[in-house]
Amino acid sequence: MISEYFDVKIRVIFPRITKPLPEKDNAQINAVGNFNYEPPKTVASTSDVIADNDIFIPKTNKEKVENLKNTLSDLENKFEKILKYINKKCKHIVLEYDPNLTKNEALAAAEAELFGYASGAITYDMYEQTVRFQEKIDRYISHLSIENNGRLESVA
Amino acid sequence: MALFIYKYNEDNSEFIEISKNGAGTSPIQTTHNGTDGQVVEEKLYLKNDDQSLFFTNVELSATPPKMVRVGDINYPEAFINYKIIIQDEQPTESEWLAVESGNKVNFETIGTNQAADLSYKPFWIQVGIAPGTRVQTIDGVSLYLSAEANTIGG
Repeated sequence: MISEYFDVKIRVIFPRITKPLPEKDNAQINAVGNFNYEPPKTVASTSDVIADNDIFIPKTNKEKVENLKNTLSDLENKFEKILKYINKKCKHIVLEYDPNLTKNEALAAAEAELFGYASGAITYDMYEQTVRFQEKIDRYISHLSIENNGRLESVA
Repeated sequence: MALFIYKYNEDNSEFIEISKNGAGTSPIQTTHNGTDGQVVEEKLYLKNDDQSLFFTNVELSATPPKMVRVGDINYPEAFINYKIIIQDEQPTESEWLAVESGNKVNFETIGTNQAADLSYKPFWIQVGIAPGTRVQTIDGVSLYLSAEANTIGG
């Protein structure tokens, strides 16, 4: 007499209400990589030339560091603005997948790890949360690395 | 043991072997709406992979038997409804209703003393989750297969 127990895994989820990706958005996503970019045609005006002459050129090291810090801060602010704009435009995008399919197993597991369950739908909000979370992890690891003179052995 | 359970992957038209004895690498997997409760039906296949053997008294059952309680003190009514039917076509609602949860099915023999039967034997399982079941993954259930292996020509 022979006997075997075959594995069964039953997942219980709270599904979110989602809507399929509209054709227009789908087409836009699929077209990524094939778009044609043409830089805006601008002509330098007299005022631009004058403004260029007025650009602050740091002389001392202290001034250079201060200037770098301000530039970085400006860039961060601009990046935040761009991100907010993208977030606004992409709010409605939902990636739907079937968590039952073997090919989606890794995606389902990742969603369950981060959000407690695999709903089969990843909203842009969820994507943004994941990106923010990754940023925090990166900063934390960098911080620990600095504290440990570049070593990460103590990061568990 | 040369008897295996397979699921069919429509994406690549391949049969995938179900893992066994708690390995968990490729389980029979169902996903349910815990808020409203949901019944999921899946077609599976039993197959002999050994040309030198035929099998008698081939039985398949859902374990643990009967209604499996999955709830905790907050959800005492949550149970799994777990049934098996041997047939190729998807069973109708009335056919499922005629079967009790935790039932045992009998494939009788696979192959004969003269030749092995290496074909895929289809069967269906139905897994039901009651409304109000909390979010969780349940892996304490399995399909129990028992059979007698016999050597062809023996």
